Amino acid sequence: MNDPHGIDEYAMYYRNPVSLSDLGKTRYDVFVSAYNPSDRVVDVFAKANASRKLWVVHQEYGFHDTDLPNGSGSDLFVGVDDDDEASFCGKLVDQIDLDSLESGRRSLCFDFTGFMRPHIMHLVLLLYKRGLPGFDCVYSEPVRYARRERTQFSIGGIRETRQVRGFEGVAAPDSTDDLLIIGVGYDDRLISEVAQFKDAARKVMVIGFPSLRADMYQQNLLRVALAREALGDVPRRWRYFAPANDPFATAAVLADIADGREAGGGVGNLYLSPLATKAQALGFALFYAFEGERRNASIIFPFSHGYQQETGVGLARTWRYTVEFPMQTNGT
Amino acid sequence: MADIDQPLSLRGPIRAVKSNDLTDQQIQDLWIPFDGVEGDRRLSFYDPCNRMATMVLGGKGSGKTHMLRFYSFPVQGLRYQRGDVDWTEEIARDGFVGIYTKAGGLNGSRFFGKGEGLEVWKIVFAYYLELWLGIEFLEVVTSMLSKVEDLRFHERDLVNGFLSCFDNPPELAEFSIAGLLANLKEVRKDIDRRVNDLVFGGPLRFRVRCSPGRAVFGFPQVVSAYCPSFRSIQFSYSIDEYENFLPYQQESVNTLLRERESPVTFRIGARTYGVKSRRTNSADEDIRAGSEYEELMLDQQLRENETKFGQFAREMVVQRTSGFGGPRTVAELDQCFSINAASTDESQASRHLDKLEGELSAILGRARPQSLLGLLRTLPSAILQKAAIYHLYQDVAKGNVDLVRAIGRVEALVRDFPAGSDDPLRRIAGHYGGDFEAQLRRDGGTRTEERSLGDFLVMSEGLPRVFLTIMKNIFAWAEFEGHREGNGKTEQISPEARRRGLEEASRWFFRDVPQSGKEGELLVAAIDRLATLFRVNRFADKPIESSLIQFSVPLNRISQEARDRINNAESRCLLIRREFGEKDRSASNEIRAKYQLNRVICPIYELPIARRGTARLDGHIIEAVFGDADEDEFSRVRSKMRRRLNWPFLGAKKDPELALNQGSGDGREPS
Repeated sequence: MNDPHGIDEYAMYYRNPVSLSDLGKTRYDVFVSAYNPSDRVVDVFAKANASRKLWVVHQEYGFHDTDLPNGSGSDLFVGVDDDDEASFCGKLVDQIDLDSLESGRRSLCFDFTGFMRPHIMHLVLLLYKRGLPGFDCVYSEPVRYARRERTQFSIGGIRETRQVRGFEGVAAPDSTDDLLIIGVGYDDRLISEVAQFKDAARKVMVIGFPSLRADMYQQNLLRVALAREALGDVPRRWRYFAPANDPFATAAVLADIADGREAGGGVGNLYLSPLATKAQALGFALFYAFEGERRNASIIFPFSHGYQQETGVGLARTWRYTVEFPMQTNGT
Repeated sequence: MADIDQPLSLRGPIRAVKSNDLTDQQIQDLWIPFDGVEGDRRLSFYDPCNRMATMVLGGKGSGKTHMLRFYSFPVQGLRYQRGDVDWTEEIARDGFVGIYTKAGGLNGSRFFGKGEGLEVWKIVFAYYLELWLGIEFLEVVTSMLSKVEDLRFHERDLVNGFLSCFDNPPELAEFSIAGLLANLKEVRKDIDRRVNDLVFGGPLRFRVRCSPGRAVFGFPQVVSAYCPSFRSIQFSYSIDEYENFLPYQQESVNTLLRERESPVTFRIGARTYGVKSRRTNSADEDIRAGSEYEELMLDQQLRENETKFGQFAREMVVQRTSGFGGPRTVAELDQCFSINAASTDESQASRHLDKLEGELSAILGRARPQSLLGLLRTLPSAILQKAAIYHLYQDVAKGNVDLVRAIGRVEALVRDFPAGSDDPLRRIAGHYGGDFEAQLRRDGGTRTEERSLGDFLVMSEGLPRVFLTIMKNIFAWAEFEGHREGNGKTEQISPEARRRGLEEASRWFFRDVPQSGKEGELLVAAIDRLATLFRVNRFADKPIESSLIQFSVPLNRISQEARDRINNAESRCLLIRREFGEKDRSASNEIRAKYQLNRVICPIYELPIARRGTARLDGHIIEAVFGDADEDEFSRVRSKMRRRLNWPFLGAKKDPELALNQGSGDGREPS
């Protein structure tokens, strides 16, 4: 999806904080959210205003049938264990039924707060490939994480570490100048895993700053420090910052990093791994979508068996992002 | 910490410890020949000119990548760039050209699923691998073009020859090696795009231009045919990180190995557990060690040569520290890790006496134990006191013993001390001294045991990266403590810096080595359980064996799960298999496999690094540790062991499933 219209100025994209009451003032055809019992997911779903509302259930949360929402006025899409993110998103989009959507930008809205990151990314590309002009998405910040710097996000073993489907890109055989950009979050286990997976690549860290809450920056660093053996010696000049709640600024930072490395000596394969917030994961997906192929980029992710159902406490703020795709010509 | 970011990269003279972090120049500059003659690039256990394919297997950090990169381009080329050398002569002197690539670079997981069957992916991957290796070969040839006249002179013939390897030769925009290289890269990119877009409904259709092996073998054959200077040169494809291939992908490589044609050979670098299949696509025949390939167990090779490893590892460290303010020679390094004369302050060590007093008073009243306690205090050291107490405990553990008489026997031993050269208390102290010292340290709230460089070498278990990581962390802590303010090159590093650095390295190893997934978790849990049992013994009132970090097991009489887990632990160097097992003294006289805990893990559990006793684990105990037993079952085993080994020694009758012998250890004490 290399954009022929030059839309790589990520600052142009709309990003606004939105109160729940204001969110309710916009009517969507379909509102989709991945269920978990935290306030910042459940409350937003309740307030969203849509002709159809759809709860998505990720197997990674380990819900029993009795845990699932069964309220009237919403449909349920339950993921299957054997499905990878491509199959999952394909079936989800089929259930959404894009043909039934009214034309116009505000037909579809996702709440990415509870979604798994590979699925967020694959959805972005899939919706573009299916011809959607764009969509809205929301992301809600917690007041704090339940156990602060000790909050555990992924649980169980890591099933596999691989490229995200659809984000496999073009490979360069010479791995001498490979670069791995990791959006480092709290999950040091995932950071170690992906750093070891691409052991030979030079590592660059993107740290969420400004963080969602003031103390989360330091909590983040304390967790990243646990992965330092796997990361190796990452010089200070290879640590970058991108707002934890801004996908577009994140994409712009990734572009800056890639430009800087290419100017400084070239990049063989550019590996990206968003392991921080869902908002940043969206940014990684957009960067790949607009610039990935020309940069030999691909996105890799450590797929964990499970995730904690609730990690955050409260709802501090909700952001709405508007993702617009360039017009497609000749099927590209 | 002055800087909140400091934890992300502690300072210290040693930076890169992973060979993947090293540039090509560093691979060359930091190479230390393990053995072999200076100037002769062969090692005693590895000959880069060996025509037989070689699988170089080893644990993480065993040096596989460094070795494979050293013997391949571009590092080979860096050696030729020194001075005014003739590349043709240097290549002839080497006798080989190495072509290095990493399996991980192909990102093999994308050639799977996506609605296509395995038979389709086998064809796609085989062709992709052909292109990949062919491109790598042409890149090496390109790097030699400007330096080797033979190649330049015959370039057109070479391009014609390369094109003849294709069933459907590509059309070249530029008739040159560079032109062919550019074309093949575009062909490969096209496949990349098609494989990626398959999930969006794109077609996986493209023209397969050559059969498996045609480029891999054909390209080198063309160079040999047209360029006289390469007639006797071997071309060696080094495929590293082989464990990153899926099983069917390894079978594609195995097929090339089996069907290899001169002048080509292969070097496969893989973790010990990383070879997932030995099958080939040739009528499902397997490749066999000793027949189609040789197997080099690299870490085992290094481990078995203790003296050479010691010298090699020291030089490795000095290579890295000498330019960064650290020790410049092996002698200076040894000086940094010198040990002070033992100066154990035992004046505060009395907890063991208080404990004994409490135990005996509860049965006999306060008065009776006082004479024993008084006598114990006359012994010259706390170790001897513990030896005497151990003797009493041993008596009591037999069961049905008259406690007063038992106390009397110990009092007699203490009064008679020392009773000649074979004094019983000295004998016990000699045997269990290491465990007693650990107990005294714990009782006294002291954690710091002064470790020597020799200890760290032993703990590395033949893995160079483990040793470097230990050294790196220790030097970083030493610098943090300000040791380098003064004469940092030879200033003795504090015991505390050594302890902290070692502890970090131990935790890194235990966290870093196990695999992903459920099995990785179970593996970590199994090792944790094993180490926990060893620790119960270490700090028990009556340890059943001294310096216990080994166990033996009848592999053919345990569950498949337990056996697989033990094998997995061994392949990941969490357990080290001892060369000689031990005889089962039962009627069967079978040989039991013997294993030892990797000693870099021992500090986490305050375990010794000297190997002495061996626990014979059988039945439900081995299943509780290595099988699929739940935590409750293991807790029962642990509790039973604690009761047996600690006052009042309930259930102390010999447990047939936890039998122990005198140990066939090497008796090595920490240096």
